[in-house]
Amino acid sequence: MADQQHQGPAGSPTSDKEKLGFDPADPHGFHEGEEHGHHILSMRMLVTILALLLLLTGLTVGSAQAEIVIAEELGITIPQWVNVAVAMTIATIKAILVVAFFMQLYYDTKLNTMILLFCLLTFGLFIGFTSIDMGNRDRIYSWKDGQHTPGGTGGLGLERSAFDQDGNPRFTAVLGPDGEDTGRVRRAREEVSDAITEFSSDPEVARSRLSPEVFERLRRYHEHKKAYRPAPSPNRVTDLSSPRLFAPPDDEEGDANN
Amino acid sequence: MTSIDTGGKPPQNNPQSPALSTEPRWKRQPFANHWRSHAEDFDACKIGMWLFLTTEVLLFAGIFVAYAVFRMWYPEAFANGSHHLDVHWGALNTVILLISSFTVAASIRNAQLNQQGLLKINLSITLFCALLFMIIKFTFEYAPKWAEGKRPGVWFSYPFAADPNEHIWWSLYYSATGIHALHVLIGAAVLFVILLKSFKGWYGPKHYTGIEVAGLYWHLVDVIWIFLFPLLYLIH
Repeated sequence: MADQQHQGPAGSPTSDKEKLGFDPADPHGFHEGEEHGHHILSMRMLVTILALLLLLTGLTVGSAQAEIVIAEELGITIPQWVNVAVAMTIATIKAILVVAFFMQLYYDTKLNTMILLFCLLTFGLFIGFTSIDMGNRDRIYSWKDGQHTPGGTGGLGLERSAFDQDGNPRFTAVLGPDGEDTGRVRRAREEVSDAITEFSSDPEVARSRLSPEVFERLRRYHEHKKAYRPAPSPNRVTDLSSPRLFAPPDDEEGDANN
Repeated sequence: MTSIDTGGKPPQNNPQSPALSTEPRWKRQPFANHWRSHAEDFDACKIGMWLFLTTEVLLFAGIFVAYAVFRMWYPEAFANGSHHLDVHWGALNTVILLISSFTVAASIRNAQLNQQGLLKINLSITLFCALLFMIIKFTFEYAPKWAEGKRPGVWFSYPFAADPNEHIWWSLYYSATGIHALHVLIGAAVLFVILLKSFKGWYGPKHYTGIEVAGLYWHLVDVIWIFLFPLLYLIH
């Protein structure tokens, strides 16, 4: 055994090793030459790692501030995914420094590294498959569009929507089992509802305070729905409490309400 | 060796009572009966701790995934909410945790080199950093925000919210930093016990498993904060 303090089991003094020709505590020599877990980091190394970590902290704060300054002073808006990528890369480097040297994984048995990597693989599956789901919800079923607004990483440059640039539906969409759009229109309704409580009880005033984008969204929705809507189901449940400020081009909405 | 009835076990696994020995505790520290050496005992403890740390990582993984999903859904709410956080306090807390991580790593070195005085000093600095972290968190971050109505979920009552979904941001902020703060408290409690034991001479070159394992936990808390800090404070 490499461990200096090792003494053999009861009744077998260390001289047994010489007498027998092998270590009775480790007859197969599995642990010969192992020094793991007893690495002593030099003070210089520890201070260097700390300095690097502090430097990287300054760097990540600085880059985040720089993004704001550049946007304000020069009028250049850096895409959001750049900011995310820079911050996450620096954080990963910092984490690797801590794990490898402060936690001594670099000097440790490989088994501990494997345990950590397997854990990270699991984490990757968790966040990876969730992201695939979230990022593609509107690609096949347009009625799911609007359950999320593109964001986070800025859609990595991809603006995904059930509608193309001209406002035409990209897919001959399925509107859901009961023909009710659950996504965008609900969100638009919520915004109208919030505008009423926030600004005014007068629908006209509230409408004037809202972004045209919301109404554009509603308009496209109604056009889309008019074109592709299946026959209304008698079992359909609609939200009666939602205010109906927007009159669709051809009002088919709400026929099941009454 | 004094003649003590070891009950048939190897003498090494039956530390003499303090009354019979003047040797420091770490020299008499036994390893568990089912291991063949201190090295095996130490490695087994460390593997066990790493396995536990993976479960901790996966606990925070849930929070990180929730962050990703809600950020994807409500980017405006997250951008608005993030502006209410003060980067200076976040950065200061990051520095404090990094320094405390350094002192824990240094205290392991001290134990390995039998520098008993420095060991206690480094552990004390770590505990002081933990206290400082919690004070900053509660006094300058939680308390003012809570008073202004920037609260999680149904308690959210901030009247000037720019986005209707901002309460989701605050729910995530409080749960992420709150669970992290809980880990800081647990880590500090464990390190406090380690400090008390170090006064009784428990840790030295031959035996420092306790510091090593507690240190791993403390470093993990640091690593989690390394990721939480940019996600909450920096990415607008």
